[in-house]
Amino acid sequence: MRVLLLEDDEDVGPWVRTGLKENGHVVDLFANGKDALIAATLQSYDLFIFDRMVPELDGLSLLKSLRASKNQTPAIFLTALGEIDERVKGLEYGADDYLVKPFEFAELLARIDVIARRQNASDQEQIIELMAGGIILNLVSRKCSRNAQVIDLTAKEFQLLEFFMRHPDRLITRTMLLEQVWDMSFDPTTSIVETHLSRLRNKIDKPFGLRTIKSRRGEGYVFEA
Amino acid sequence: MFSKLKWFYHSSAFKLATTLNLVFVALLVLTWIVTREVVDEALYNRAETELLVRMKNLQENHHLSQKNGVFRQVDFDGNYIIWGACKDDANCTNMHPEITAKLGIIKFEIDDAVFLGLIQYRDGIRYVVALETEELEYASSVLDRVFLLCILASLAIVLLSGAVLARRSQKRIDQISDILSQLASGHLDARLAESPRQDDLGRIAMDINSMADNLKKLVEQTRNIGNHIAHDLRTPLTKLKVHAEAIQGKANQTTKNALNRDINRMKQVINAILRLAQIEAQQSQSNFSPIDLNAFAREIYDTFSVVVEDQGKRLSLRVDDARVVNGDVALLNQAVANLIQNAINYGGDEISLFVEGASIGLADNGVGVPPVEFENIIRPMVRLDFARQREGSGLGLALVNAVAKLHGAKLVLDANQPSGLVVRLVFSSK
Repeated sequence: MRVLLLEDDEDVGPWVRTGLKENGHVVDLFANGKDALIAATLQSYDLFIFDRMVPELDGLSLLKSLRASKNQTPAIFLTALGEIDERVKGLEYGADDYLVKPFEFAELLARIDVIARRQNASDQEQIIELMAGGIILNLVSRKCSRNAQVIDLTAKEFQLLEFFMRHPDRLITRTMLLEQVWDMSFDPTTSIVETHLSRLRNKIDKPFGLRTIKSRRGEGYVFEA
Repeated sequence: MFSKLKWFYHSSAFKLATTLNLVFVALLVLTWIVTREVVDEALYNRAETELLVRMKNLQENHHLSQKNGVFRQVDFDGNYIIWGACKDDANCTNMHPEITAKLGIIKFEIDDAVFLGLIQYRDGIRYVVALETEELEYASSVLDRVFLLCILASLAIVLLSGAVLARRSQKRIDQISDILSQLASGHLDARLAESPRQDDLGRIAMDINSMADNLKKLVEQTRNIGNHIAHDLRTPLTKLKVHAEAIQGKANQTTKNALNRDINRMKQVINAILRLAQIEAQQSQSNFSPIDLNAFAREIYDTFSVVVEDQGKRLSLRVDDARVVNGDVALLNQAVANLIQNAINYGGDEISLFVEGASIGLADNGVGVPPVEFENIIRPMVRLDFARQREGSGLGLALVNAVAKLHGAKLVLDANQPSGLVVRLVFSSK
């Protein structure tokens, strides 16, 4: 993907750029909002990554003016302003995601992945059944089975599995699961994700001697059927 | 109709107008009484003088030989006068028995006409002079009518002007109270329209507007300070992380892991501090929606029961007469999550999540907290000795308290029986 990165910090900017390049993205880095605005209007990008507090023109105003000129390129805010209303403001101004500093690089990559996938998949609503590795998840009857064996899932386990099956072979971080499955924009400091995941694995993997949801140490989880 | 009257009764302008006008009416009544007294006396004195003059005339010019008795005749003004003299009282009884019964000034009535008379006895002769008092009565009745009319008219004006004044100022007072409640609920852009009248309400409106300007400036400043603190704390932490990531080599892996762990820990504390500051500064209830405490508690229970179980403890759920409260789901979620976290860390192995009417809370059977410390532990950064060795920011309960305040709810701590702590969020039930 071609990424426009707006970040004025002389350490963080190059770090993100290097990381993205290593993962196969093309990155243009700018340290002030005005330059970024000029670049964004002259060229077409697949993704914007903006810091909120940068010189000349802040990230929020930049995105606002881009959206006003019908530029619909997906955008992620990378910012030190993590409080809920700032986050809501960011999303209201047309951002697709909002990541609070300091963040794990894997977190950023995972979120970019989800956005890229969202761009490709258009009509998710029509999916009635998700199928992978012998697991059938019926979204209408809320029933789950693997290799024709019915599995009883709690509501949360069902939501969790659905999220994984909708994003197969992608890194899913703990924070993403907290936000998407539990609607928690804070770190509950308890092992909510780990506990529910371990129960889910005991139901869908253990009886079949398989390991569909794999852990990536310090990064998150991947659903591989 | 009744509510309209009630509205009038409660309007301060109407009260003021009515009070002032009632004072005016009272003064009018007083004036009436005094004026009547003075006028009556003056007319009476005049009549008395007239009687004395006529009596003198009568005594000087009267000759009993000509007329012996009392007579009634019409004078030049068309009023009746009575006059006469009699040697023998029997000659005087034809007109009225009072005439022979008394001496001096008397009042008597003949054929519905009231007379004021003077009776004198001289040299064995009774002299009688009397005038019809119609003139006197007439003056008084005119006076009465004028005053009564005045009082009725002013009473009508009282009610009318009171109502008009009340309506006019009540409208402005309503606007002021509307703007104040808008400001109180966090709409800091609400302002009163400038009034062309330079009266007290106009001045209050101007004061409120300038107060709102200051409030808005202050909130913006606080927000900016918060944003700058967030930026200034999180940016170096991010840089630290960048540098930690740059550490290479297997031998340094332990250092790198330790660094990352500490960075995450600092990140958590910074998040907690900023979040607490944000909730405490928050005025707006714009994210509020009706929350069914029953469904809310079940959702929490579904999420946390397995977590508690994994810690070797047990979470139970008890719902009793659950109500619907108005609140911010995300914040309440975090508040209850904090309480559960506390119960896991410091409480006993039996933890109970409960809903009782409009309150939700947690109870455990641990060692509890001494009641003298209840006030302390909800303050930010206060940690009791036994908690000091464990991880935590000391902001958990302070955050719950801030969330409670934002909801107009109370955070109540109690000792559990036989041991442990009960913490509950009590919403005001409407």
